[in-house]
Amino acid sequence: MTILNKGDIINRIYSKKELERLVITPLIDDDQIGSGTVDLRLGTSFIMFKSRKIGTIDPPTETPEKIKEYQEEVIYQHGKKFILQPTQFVLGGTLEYLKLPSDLLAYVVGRSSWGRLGLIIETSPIVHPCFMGVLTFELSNLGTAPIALYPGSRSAQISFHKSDDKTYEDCKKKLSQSRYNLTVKPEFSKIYMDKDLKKIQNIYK
Amino acid sequence: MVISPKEHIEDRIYRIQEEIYELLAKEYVTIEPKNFLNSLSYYNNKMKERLMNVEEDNIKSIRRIGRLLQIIHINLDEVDHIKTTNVPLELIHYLNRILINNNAKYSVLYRPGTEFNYSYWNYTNFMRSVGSGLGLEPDQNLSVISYPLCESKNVLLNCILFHEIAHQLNEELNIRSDIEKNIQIRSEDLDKYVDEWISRFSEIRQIVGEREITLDRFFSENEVIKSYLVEELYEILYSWIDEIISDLIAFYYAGPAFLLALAEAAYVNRSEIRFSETHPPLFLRLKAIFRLYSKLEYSRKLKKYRTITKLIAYYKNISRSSYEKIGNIPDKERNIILERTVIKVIPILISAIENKIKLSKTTFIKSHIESAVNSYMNLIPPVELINYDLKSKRIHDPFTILNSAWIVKENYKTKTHSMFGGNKQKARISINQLTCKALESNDFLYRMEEKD
Repeated sequence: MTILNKGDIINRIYSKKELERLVITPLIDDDQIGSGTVDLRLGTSFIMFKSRKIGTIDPPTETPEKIKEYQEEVIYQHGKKFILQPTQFVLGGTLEYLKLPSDLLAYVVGRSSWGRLGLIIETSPIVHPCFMGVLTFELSNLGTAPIALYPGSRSAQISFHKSDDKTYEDCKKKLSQSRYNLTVKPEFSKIYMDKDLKKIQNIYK
Repeated sequence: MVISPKEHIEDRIYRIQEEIYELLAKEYVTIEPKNFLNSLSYYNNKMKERLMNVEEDNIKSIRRIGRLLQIIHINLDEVDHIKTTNVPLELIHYLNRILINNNAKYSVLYRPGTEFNYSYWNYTNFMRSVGSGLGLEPDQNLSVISYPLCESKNVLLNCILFHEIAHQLNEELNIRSDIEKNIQIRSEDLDKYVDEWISRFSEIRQIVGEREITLDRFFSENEVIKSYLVEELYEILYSWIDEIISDLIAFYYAGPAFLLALAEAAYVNRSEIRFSETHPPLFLRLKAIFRLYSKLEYSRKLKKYRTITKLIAYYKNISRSSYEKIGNIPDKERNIILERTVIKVIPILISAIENKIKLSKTTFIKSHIESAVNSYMNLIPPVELINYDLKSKRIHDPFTILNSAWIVKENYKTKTHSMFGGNKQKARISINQLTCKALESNDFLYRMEEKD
């Protein structure tokens, strides 16, 4: 695995070869691309927990309908601020839509400027090859003061790592393999799709 | 008296105000719902002031106040449906830009409705007419556009919203009112139509006369019958013309995307020849749109996309229909007169629109459309047009985003369906979502560039 530098990232974004191309759209400013990372912006859609309604989140028993009973989506348009209270946890998404070629894997981390205010942005930082869509942020305020989040602001950074494999796959063929592919906003958890959870639950029954 | 109507209405005003406070506390994704609620609150407070000066036994005035409260009440219910997630925000931004570019003074409240219907309502004008008897002047310029609740995120179908904002432009830019003198029903048609009715009434008069029943003035005086019929015809004609003007403006701004959205929605919901006093039949609307379609040379521009060309040819065939060709329908003569008049004035309407509205950046550029189609086919929202040689990019305009989406949806069905393992609905939903994402990003890019 080698990490892509600024020149590599730009070359990938403008690659004429479809299967090698890295898509990050929109890229508002050229300076979003740093020496080895690209800054990602916060999107306008958030998923909030309806705390009053949560009993216990018990993954094997969850269903898409049940999850919507205790999570709800809200939209904050650009220019408005979303106040994240201390200890509050919400899901957000990137403004950018990404498409990774089959030979790149990426890591996402929060920008330290936000981290220093107490904001945690990403807890599952790996983005798999062939991912297509908007990345979901797991946003949490670990500080003691509320933090105002602005959709459109730079919130995280992503680095790209190239595998040594020289073959390229057509990612469209892998479309059905990922549960979070082709998303255009943060997604509700699909933990209920974990096949072995049910097995584990019934292991001694 | 056992009950006090004044106290009853006083309490209703209080409860309406409580409901307004509740709704004002909700979060909305745009400013207009709160502006609208503040306006309803303004009328409610005015009614409270008015009621204080009304005598307890002045039931007529109290009822008049009650009627206005009923209007406020209905509108509160409509606002109650608005959530941050069921507003077609990705399209609204662009629609509002069109209004601003045309110096429109009104703002628009977009609200989901419970009917499968898109509609435009000039709230300010309505309240002006309702409130005039009560000495009330509107507090703001606002119009209301409704769309079907469950279609709020169906951005391809929501291209119909271009037609709804076009009503606003038609009114504010006086497009129809300035050419009204050129919109005339042929006098021989009118005379023939009126004469037929007069002769029918003569027959009725004869029968009634034999039975010694007194007829009211309407049935007994030819001049009154004539003026009623002419007034009624022109009322329908102007409504139809307003709709046609809005269709043409929408087609200018959204191109084939509007034509396809309108035709699909209208065709699914009602017969293409159905008569309505407010809307011309689909075939006539299509006839006007296809006149502009030819003028803007879309046949040539879309030639490459064969399946969509076939679909459009199907709609063109519908547009060839005519009330003259249709057999037994009620009021056939009236319909023929209206149809004939509309067809005659289409060129006048097109030229009036071209003189009044600003049409920059709404053109069909083949290379841009091809690039956007290619993005969709690679499952990428077409936000930017990328030049891979120069390593540069520029923003796609909403016109390109919407038209390429329709092309992908209709022209590349087999390919897109196979990408989703044959799941046709998933393919359609994905195209729709990518379009929403592209439009949202487009607006952000546009505004960021504007602020530089």
